[in-house]
Amino acid sequence: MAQPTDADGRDSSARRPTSRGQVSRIDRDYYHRPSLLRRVRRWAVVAGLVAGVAWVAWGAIDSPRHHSPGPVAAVHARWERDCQACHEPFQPITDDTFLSTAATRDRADAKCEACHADVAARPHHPLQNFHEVGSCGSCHQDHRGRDADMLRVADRTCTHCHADIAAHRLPATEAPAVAPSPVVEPVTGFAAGSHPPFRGLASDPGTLKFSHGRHMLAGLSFAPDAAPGQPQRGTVWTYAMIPEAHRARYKPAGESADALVQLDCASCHEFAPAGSDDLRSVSTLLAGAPPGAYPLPLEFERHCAACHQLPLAGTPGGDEAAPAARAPETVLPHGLSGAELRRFLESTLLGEALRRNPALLEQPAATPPLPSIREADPATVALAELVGERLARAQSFARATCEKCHDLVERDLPTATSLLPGRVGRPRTDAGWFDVAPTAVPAIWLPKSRFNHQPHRNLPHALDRHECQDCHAAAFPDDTTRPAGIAGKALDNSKVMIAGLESCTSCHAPPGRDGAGRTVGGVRHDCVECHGYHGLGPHGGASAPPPAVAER
Amino acid sequence: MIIGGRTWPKDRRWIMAITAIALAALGWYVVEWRQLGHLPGGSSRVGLTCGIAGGAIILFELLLWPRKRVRSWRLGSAQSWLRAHVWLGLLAVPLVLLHARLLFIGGLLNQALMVVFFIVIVSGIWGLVIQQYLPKALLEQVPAETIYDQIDHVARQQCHDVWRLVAASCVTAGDDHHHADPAEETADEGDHAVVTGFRAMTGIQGRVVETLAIHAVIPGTDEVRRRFVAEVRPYLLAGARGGSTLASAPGAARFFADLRGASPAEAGWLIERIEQACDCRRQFDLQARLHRWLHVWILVHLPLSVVLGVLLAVHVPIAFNYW
Repeated sequence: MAQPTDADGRDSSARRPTSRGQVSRIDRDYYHRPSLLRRVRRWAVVAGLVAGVAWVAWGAIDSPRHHSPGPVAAVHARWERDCQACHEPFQPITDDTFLSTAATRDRADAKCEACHADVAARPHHPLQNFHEVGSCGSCHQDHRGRDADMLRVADRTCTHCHADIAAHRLPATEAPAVAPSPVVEPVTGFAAGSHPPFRGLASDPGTLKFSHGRHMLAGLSFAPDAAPGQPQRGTVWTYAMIPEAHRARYKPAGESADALVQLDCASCHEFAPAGSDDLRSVSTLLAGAPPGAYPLPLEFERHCAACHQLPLAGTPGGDEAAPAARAPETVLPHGLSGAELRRFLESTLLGEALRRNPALLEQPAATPPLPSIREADPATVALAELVGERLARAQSFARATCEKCHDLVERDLPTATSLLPGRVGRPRTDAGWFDVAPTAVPAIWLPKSRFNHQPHRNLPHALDRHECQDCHAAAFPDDTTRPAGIAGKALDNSKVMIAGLESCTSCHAPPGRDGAGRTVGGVRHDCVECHGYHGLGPHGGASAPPPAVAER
Repeated sequence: MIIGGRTWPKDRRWIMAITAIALAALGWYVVEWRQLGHLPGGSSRVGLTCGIAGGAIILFELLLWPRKRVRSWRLGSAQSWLRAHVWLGLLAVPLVLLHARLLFIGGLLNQALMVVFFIVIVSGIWGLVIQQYLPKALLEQVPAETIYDQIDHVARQQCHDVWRLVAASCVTAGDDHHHADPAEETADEGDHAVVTGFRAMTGIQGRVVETLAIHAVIPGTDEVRRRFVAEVRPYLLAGARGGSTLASAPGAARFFADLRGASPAEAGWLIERIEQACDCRRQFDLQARLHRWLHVWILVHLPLSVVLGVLLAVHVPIAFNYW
């Protein structure tokens, strides 16, 4: 098939289209007509501009929602819409900016101190280098939501100095009156190796002579077949031997009165119910702690006297015989000072002597003709001599009784305050008296930190363990960490019976798994979980929810 | 191709530079993060530096638009501007992320700013990818490419040219005068027809305009004329919008096979011309579709860039007021 072309021999040049005709095929004005794409693009730009301006206008009306990085904490909610209440215009509120200076820090802090002057006035430590302390907002960051706790500061705010505390505290030349703490161990977190062992558990400062091991044994007695050299079996206690008034506290319901006494932790270590301030006043530390955070201090009358009455008559060691039958007037009161003890013994023995020999009261007192050296009349002297011998024995007995549990401090008492008459040549002081040394058992063993027994008592325990045993294993006779035979020792009060850091980090650590694949850790372990700042005591800066949150 | 090919040495320098800057910023951020114990915010030393750098980049990116308005100012070549626009825009992503505390940002303004920023970035990357590959596809698959805005005009012209060939060569069916091309009445009525086709030769292909001599009527071609008027001409004028079977290559192949069977052998060259015109029209359709893909992203990228600029202009003073 042949396609007709110009090349077929015909003279076609005269009939070809002209160049004008060719040019007319081209639309020369197309670019003057905006295409659809161009028109849409132009309108889209206008729409974008309008949308941007509209958004800005909305932001001007609802400024906090648009410009605040987040809701302020509940305690600051009142100033949610008043940015100037906390912010100084065009001044950084934190210390990590280029333009942060001491001046900007002071201006920013002044806004905080307008309400929090009391906290700001409390230094953290006398040796604190205040040049290194950031602004309030640097540690206490707000705008983290209503429920955020502003006291939950980042660990870095503490470890900034405590990671190398020696390099961050004032040199001795700047604070000569303050003795630097010898402890300079680095603190970089809460784990073995990054946190020093608890100093409060290094040793037991208590002076009370006591055996936890014996008190946790049935019958409160050592084994009947004690080996030679071991404490021998003492009185085996049954519930019948406990005075009626105290018996119900110790005897489980349904237990026979002849059964051996078996104490547990709660027999002595009681926790105050919520809302109670029972006995809290004995310790300012305890007074600041929430109810139930710590066990109440032990009281002799409540926790010891059921078994350990203090008989005035008898011999040392005989106090445990038939305590239920003892008359009240023959019992030494507990907690007397040396002077009070002498007064008690003198008055008791004088009364007893006068009851036995009422004729002594009939003898007239001799009256000297002139003021002279005091000279007792013969009847009084006879009475004093009669009582004096018994007083000496009672003094000796009391010493032995007190010394059984307490350290004693020797004290000479002035003769002038004695009830017994003096005589010529009697020394101005009576020797041989004593005060009982304070027991010094800490009400709170870790005074630098916050703790609360209440939530820790409800933790799951192994079936064969007591709820307290996880952290106080050393107080139990079956403690595997005890050296052989320590449960049988008479005294174990020198042993600290609170587990250390390792018992905390089993829960207060980053989440993970142990060798058996069980989940461990995961509980908060930041610095402020236990510690306070601004000179606050262990419970002074508790991270309890702020009032506004609690009310909600 | 925007990236790669002959421009690769320049692109490589840009890639190395923005990678180094991004890594340096990230390293600084990590150091300050460890020092502070928490993620540095926008007002921290590293956060503010990244914010200022990111803001400056965004401002520069916005300048591309006015720069196109003042081409006569000779502010660097368009290629250099585009390359800087692309690579600096990508560098802005890590800088803005570090400034915005890795997206832990607060107020609605900041959130809107961040959302718009990322839509602009993603649309820009989409446009970059599209422009990287579609022009090559256009070159290979649309040898008859014309100016996009002229497609309808060229298609009408082509339809007119082919109609002149058909009208001059085919037997008149008698009732198709209703379908006569109006342009025919005003066109030059010489004995030549100018037709558009495309040729491929030694690796070069493109649209060609040929002038053909018009011969006498070919007997037995009334079917060609009828089907041209009924099916081909609407397709040539409307393209794929009309839903014609000629819009697909297989449909067109079937159509012209039928037409050849119903026509004398002498009309083969004419049918081939009509088939070429339909093929050309299909290329215009493809060109229009590729053109839309090439440019529709800008309808997102450009207006949101304007929004970004407005929000950024408000963000800066407010951030410095309450930092």
